[in-house]
Amino acid sequence: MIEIRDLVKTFDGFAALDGASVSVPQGAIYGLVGPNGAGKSTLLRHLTGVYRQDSGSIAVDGEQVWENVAVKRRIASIPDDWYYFMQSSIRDMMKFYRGFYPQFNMERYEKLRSVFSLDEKQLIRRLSKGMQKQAAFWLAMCCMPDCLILDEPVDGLDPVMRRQVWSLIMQDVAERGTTVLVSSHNLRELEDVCDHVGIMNKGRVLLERSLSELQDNTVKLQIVFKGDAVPELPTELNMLHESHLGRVFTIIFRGSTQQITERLAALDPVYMEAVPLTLEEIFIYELGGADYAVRDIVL
Amino acid sequence: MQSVTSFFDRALFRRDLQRFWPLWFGYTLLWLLILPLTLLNQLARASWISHAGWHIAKEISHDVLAIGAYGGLAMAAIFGIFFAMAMFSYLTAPRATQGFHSMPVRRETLYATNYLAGLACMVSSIVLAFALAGVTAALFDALDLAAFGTACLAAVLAVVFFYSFAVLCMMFTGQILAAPVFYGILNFLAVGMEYLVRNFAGTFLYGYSGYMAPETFTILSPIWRLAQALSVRAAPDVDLILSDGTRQIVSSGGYVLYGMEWLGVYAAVGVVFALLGLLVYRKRPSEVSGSIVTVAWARPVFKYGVALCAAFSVGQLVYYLIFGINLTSGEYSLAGTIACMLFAGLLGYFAAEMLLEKSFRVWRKGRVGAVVFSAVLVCFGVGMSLDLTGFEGYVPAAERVESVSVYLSSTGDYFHGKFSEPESVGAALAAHRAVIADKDRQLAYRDRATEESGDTARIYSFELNYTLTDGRVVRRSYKDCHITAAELREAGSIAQTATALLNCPEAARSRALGELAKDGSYTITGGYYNAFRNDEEGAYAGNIDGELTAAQASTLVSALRRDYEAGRTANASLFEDTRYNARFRVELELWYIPRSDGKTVGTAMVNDYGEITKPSSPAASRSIYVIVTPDMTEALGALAEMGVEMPAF
Repeated sequence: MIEIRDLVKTFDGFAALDGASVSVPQGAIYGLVGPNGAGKSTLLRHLTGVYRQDSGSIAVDGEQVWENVAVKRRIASIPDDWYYFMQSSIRDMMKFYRGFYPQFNMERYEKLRSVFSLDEKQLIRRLSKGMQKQAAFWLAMCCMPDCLILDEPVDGLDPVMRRQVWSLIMQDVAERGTTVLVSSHNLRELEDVCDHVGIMNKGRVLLERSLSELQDNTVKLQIVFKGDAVPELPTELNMLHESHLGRVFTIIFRGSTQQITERLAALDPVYMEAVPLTLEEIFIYELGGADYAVRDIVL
Repeated sequence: MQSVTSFFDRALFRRDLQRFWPLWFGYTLLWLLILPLTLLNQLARASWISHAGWHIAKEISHDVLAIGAYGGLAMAAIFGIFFAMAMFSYLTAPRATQGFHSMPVRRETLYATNYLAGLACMVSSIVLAFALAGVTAALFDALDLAAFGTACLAAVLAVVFFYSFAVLCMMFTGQILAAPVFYGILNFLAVGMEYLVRNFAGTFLYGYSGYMAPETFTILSPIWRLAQALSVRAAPDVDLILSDGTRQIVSSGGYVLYGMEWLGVYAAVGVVFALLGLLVYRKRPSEVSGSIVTVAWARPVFKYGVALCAAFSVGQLVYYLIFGINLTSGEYSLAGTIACMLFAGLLGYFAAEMLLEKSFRVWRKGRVGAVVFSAVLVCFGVGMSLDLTGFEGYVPAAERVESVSVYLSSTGDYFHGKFSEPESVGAALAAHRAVIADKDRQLAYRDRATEESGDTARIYSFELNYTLTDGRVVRRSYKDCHITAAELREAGSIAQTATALLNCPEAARSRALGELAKDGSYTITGGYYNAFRNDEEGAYAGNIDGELTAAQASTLVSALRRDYEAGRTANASLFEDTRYNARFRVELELWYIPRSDGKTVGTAMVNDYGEITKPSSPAASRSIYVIVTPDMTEALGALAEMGVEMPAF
């Protein structure tokens, strides 16, 4: 289990992380989403022991990560910009990783050779960006990590390879109970693989829940009222967004679907239907409440 | 569970060696070219000399020691930074830093392993080169194991220091190209700044003689210090009693590397630097890679340091370029100097700020510091020119002076010697006070061109080095003091006091007899005379010369002493050297050997076969130079007895 509490990190006076807290259950695939500059990569770098926090704590199964070799051996990471030696091939890097990860699995390395079909003797710098990403996955998976930290992991991979990679990760989660923390802007993809989601903005985690809980807790209703205007809605309803097309109003509420539809039924609408919300919509509407929304600008 | 700290990681070490083998290979190749190959050539050339193995071994030992010392110093200084840059290059690229720091390895392990990898590369190359050189020498029967061992140790010690120093520099920066710049500058910063500050002080302080003083901070400039300290010289002479009962100093013909203790000290400092580097690395955040200075407290040091260096170096250079035309007449401009230094200092200050902030827009952030820096610099300059410390007017109290070394050269006579008798010290102090009292007039003379006539003269240089009873040394130096004959009659004038100094008993004795003034501390070994005759108009009319035997020279020394005691030696003058104006003079060069333990010693050489040869000439001989004038009747009488009749020839 990954437990990050009240993490603070400032760079030259700017708070990149401002009390961020994240809790990733054992065996979960946790999607960390947020706008650019929210602090996602910074948070992940703390988790991999690259950065040292100003305050707060980062623990894996109760053990602090910073300068803890035993814990870091259980963590493999694939950053957005994976590092390899300029003159090295995948095989060279494999030897390098094997020196640091005692549990490095050569059997898995051989098996994955057929999956990635890369020339392990070719210099990595001569590979395309997508192929370099595959190489990073190949090596990271062979480290047999208990925690896999991924920053924009499938960026640059073709659709087939994306599926392949996610399938490998999910297989590892299912078989070995690997905990995965993934940061991505591809919410559509995260929605398919994640069971937990955290939304970050301005160095803080605004909310984190299981995906089903998150979807259950936000309601999108399409309603047609009698007459052209919207009657006055009960003030206790937490409305996140409202739009309309003719007489059809689309309103997003935070709360339980059952409770909200019961309250609105009292207004005697002509038509009312709850529509499922995508992760992208939840992301947009939640951040809209945090002063981060798509603005209508006429150029 | 927190893992136990390990300082070495075999995988990383192996990886370092694999990654940087081209540098390692190049370094080794250079060492092989410098040492074994050179040695092989030398030995192959000399091998035709039969039975000369002993002699060749000594020559080879000299060369090996020189290569170990100077070659080792140069190679360590140059390649130390290259290896440090290679081993810690990952700290200067954010991607690489994150890559390494995300691996399951502690910072201590990363640092120590990378440090050891670089050190191992450098040391192994040296050991290999010396081992091959030793085998080569052994094949030619010219192996001096002690010399090879010493030279190898010297090269290794130099590596320990310079590599550690370079690594420490790497820890303080996140820019790969900044590391060699820091390293290079820091190697010479102390002596460079000392020179510049002395130059600045010398411009405004009357009597400042900082140029003559030995550099105080050379120890902080390692390359400079070691280049001065290391030397390969002949092994110390050995006292021997020969079969005929005489005592000889025997030169073994071997060589010794002097300055090893300095290498030892610096190597120890290198170890401390390596540990400091570890401490800095532990504190150094990953996110600073790419920054010019990585440690928070070092940022202001860097900023103000650059400003100060720029002010003193570029500032003074700009001053000389702009105002240099006035300097020959002595017109130093305080305002001009400070303005130039301020300009260059602020330029340096904002350049440093830009480097730190990685932005050209630094005015807002740096303006307060710039004002503070400017104020300090102006205060320093003005304070120095106003002599707030009382430097210019300071003359030590007579009772606190143990001795004073005086160098005085003038239009007429000159003197260079050391006084310790109260009367002579008093004369030196009086002359010193007179020069200080006459400051304004002397500076005014400097500002306008003056021509010398028979009544005027110049003291070109008047230098005083006081050694005080508490061990402190006070140095002053005055140049181009203008004096007139009329001032000889003015009590307390420069002319009067300096003339008195030139003729004080210690000066007069030294002038007449030099080191031979002390009775019994020498053995006269011979000499040379050159007698000159002038015509009625004082022009050169001929000369005779010849060598003197030891007995003749001894007789002459006794005669000179009698002349001195009778007051027949010529008085010295600042206006002219009267000794050259008489109808004739005899210039004597008298050779002598100082005595040690009351016994005269000479030197013997050891030949190619290891046999002691008789001395052919007194190698430890010294000489004094004396001019015999017509008044010195005792010396003239002694010369006449030797067949040198004056002015008969």
